[in-house]
Amino acid sequence: MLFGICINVSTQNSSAEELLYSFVINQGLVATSDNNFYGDSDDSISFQYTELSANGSYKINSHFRVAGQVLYRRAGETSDSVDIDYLFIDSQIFGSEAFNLGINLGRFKNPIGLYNDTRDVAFTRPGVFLPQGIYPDALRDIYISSDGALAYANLFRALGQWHIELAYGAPRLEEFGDFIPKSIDISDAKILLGRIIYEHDLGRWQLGLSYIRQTSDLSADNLNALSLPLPLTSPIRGDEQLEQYLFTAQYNHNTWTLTSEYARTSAGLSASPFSFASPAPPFDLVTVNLSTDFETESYYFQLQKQLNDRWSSLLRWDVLEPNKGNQPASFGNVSFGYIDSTKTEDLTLGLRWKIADSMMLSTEYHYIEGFAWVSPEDNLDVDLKSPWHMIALSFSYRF
Amino acid sequence: MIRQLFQLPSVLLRLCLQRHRGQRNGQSDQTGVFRCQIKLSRIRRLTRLLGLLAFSCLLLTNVTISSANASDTIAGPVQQVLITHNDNNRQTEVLRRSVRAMYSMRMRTWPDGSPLTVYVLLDDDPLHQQFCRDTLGILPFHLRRSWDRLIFSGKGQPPIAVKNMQEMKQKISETPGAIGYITGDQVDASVTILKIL
Repeated sequence: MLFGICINVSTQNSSAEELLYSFVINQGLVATSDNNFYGDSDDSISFQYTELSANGSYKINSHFRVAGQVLYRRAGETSDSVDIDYLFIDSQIFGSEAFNLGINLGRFKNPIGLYNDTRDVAFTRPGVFLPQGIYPDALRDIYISSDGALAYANLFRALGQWHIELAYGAPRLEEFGDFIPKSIDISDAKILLGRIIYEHDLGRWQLGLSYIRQTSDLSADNLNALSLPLPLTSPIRGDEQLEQYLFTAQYNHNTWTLTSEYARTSAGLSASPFSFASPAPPFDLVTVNLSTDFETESYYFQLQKQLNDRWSSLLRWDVLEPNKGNQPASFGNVSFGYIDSTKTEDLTLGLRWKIADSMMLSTEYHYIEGFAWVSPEDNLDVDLKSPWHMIALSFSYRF
Repeated sequence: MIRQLFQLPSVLLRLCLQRHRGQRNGQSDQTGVFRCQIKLSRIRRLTRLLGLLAFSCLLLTNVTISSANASDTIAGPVQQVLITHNDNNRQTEVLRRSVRAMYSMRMRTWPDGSPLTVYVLLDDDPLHQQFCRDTLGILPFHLRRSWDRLIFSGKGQPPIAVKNMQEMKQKISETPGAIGYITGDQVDASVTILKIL
């Protein structure tokens, strides 16, 4: 119905019609001394890091616009699919010299921190990978995009601009990976997002705060583990919730950019303990407690330097501390989406070469202590080790 | 082959693992572990320091090159002016904060609500660099970075890039609600100068 309205509007103002589109290709190589990251990288080279995206924006008139992106992403064993990353109608309700107001309806990118909105586009990332402490692949399904409505306001002041966003919708959360058995259904997933960013002097200084509150219901009448049906004595009912505060700060001075983000996440599951008869002799009754509650703290400091028109460099220290809370996760040693709950530090050195306006080559070296953010799917039969090293290279092309 | 690549760090790694194992087991020779720990922490600190030093050198070596480039590109003081379509109803003055908002691509209409079309020269054009620095107070690559964030998140569109001042002037004279910039000596009756307040 909304499309119908837009088409009518566009026929009245055909001179203002404008369709812009672009394609981005990114192919990465990852080699690690231990542990797998984005494919079989342990003592080998993984090519399983590919992003292909096509995005378009159709300006119907100065008040209505449609924007969308289709994304193919291969990241080791964690993702290999084509999805509609976002597709929404952007309607600017009011615009003046002092501020404007608008609403996005459809599937929108979750406004979280500095990089989440464009996390899968190589040209907007500071390096080959985003800092995993703040933008972990483990929580990707909650982070990427949501179906619903996003309201925004931009305030134009003499000293700077304020960008305020508030969104509510359903996150694209289908499963929690290996965190909980896949036969547990997730339903009624909801997300509330808020972000406020102040850009002083067109971004010389940038300060921001993002807030996420996400909840969902969990249920299972039957459980499968290792392809064996486990007869439950009673169905599982429970809920999951995640809350995060994220602070963003960036300072640009000439060719230097200093960025830091800090996030505090509290997440938990509450479900009644469930029991099932062990499928193997002596067929004892096994009781599992899924309930867990914990806090995660993560932050990074990042220094970027534009060396000249073609070259730039990156230095970053990234820290993730899962399970800062008192209650350890009761489902083995696995924290909410993370493979391990030990503190993980990542020191990154990066170099980027802009071959042409549309082409670039990025390379990175990581020295990592801990392995909380590596994916369980990529490391099923791997004896995880720390510290470890990683070299990554990516080639990106836009047209 | 890859193992060779990591040969140097892996020596360190093995030592580190020994230490970790030693700490975990707690049964091994205490003095041995202790000695190993001292050596290791020294080596690790040293390698980190060396790495950081090498990297800082890399960062700093190009400062002179980039500043030399910047001075090369702008030959003498060229007066640049903001121009708009010849429309009598349109304003001839604009606030600096509005120019910034327009070029950040967050402001999509003129203050009176009429459609706005933003034109720019290519990123490496000296006049674009001068406009970014003097009028917007930002470096071209910062501006490009913020446009990319808008484009790829679907939240906005980039400005329309033109190859030279002639094309800029022509587009602006043809498009109601257009805004752009040229040098003062290029201004003629086809466009109107916008005074920045």
